Amino acid sequence: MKALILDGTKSNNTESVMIFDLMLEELKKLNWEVITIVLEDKDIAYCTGCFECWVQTPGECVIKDFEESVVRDMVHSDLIIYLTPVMFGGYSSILKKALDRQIGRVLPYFMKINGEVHHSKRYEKQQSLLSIGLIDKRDTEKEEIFKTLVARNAINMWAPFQRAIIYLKGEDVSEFSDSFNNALMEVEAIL
Amino acid sequence: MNKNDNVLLLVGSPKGSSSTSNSLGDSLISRLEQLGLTVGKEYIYKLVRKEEGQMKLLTKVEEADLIILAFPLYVDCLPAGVIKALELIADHRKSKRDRKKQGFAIIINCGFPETQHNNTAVVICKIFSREVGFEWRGALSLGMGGSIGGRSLEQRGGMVRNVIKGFDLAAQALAEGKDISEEASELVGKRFMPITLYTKMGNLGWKLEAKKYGARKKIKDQPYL
Repeated sequence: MKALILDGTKSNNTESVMIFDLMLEELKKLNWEVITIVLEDKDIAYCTGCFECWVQTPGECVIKDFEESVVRDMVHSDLIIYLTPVMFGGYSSILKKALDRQIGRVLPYFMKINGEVHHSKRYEKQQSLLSIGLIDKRDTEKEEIFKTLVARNAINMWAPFQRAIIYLKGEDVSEFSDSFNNALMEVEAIL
Repeated sequence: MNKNDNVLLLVGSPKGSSSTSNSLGDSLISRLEQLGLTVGKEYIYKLVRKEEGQMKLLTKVEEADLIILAFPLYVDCLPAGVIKALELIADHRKSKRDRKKQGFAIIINCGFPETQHNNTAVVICKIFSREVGFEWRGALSLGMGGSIGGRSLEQRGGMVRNVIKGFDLAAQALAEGKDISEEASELVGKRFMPITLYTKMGNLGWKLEAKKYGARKKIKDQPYL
């Protein structure tokens, strides 16, 4: 079982480090092989919207930087975990930079999924998605839209399982730990 | 709004001036200009990469009375460069005590035929607006962005007649300091063509594009296996 953690937080955040370490510990306890990528440190350019990863070098971005390694690791994982502050209900720009460049993981062709148009899959093996959102204070609207965003990503990227977990800064970590472990067990159950 | 009020269009597509976001944004601000407002435009991806550009972005936003953000949907959400711009604006405004009244509206387009793919990004923009103290003026949300392809609405002609009507209504409302009406949003969100036709044309278009690069037979490659 392979997991990839994409850390889209800023390095000066002590709570995100704590959550990151906790996830790593739990994954290792359950015998997951883990790759971690701290995105802030990496040279990743913005997506230019050229779609050449669909029509010129199918499946590969034409920009050669660290993102190539991110997408390769995504493709070989069973589980992708996002760690991000909840920015206006969505992801941080640090995380989103890496996510915008992953569209080569699907095909350009349109197809209907549950009556709605999406892109066809490129690879047979698909990755479950767990998204951890860090929030300073309770905000129902932000939390709900964050969960919706993760669910929408899961449809578009063909994730067989998805879950968004919100961690309120300063909160007892045991509740987070339980939610995280439960999600891992659900992912394992479908592998 | 007053005649001297400033409207700032922020184009949030990395494709800049050749993007559909730019052509849609231009369509709206040219209408506002005709209604007597002063309009300006900046390309977000030119500004967010370096500190000098970031400072320019913040100054331009501070000077504006109405900010219109036009962007494409990227992976169910705003493109990374646009999120970066919103993060910068939010950080900057935290330190400001006296904030003038400023309106905020968005134009969003996606390549899927259904407009509903944009809904998550619209809510995110609305939350941003609330957090930084802008007055939310509404969203013009379009699917089938691929069929506009960076051209002006006028060039696209009858196919986008509802979008044109919606933009007329939205511009009138914004110029009067009002919110974009539901009627305008609904007109803009109407399909240009049947979904099946759009997806068939889209799928053919990708094949033809790949053929240009000699990659037609490689389009389903799995390079990382």
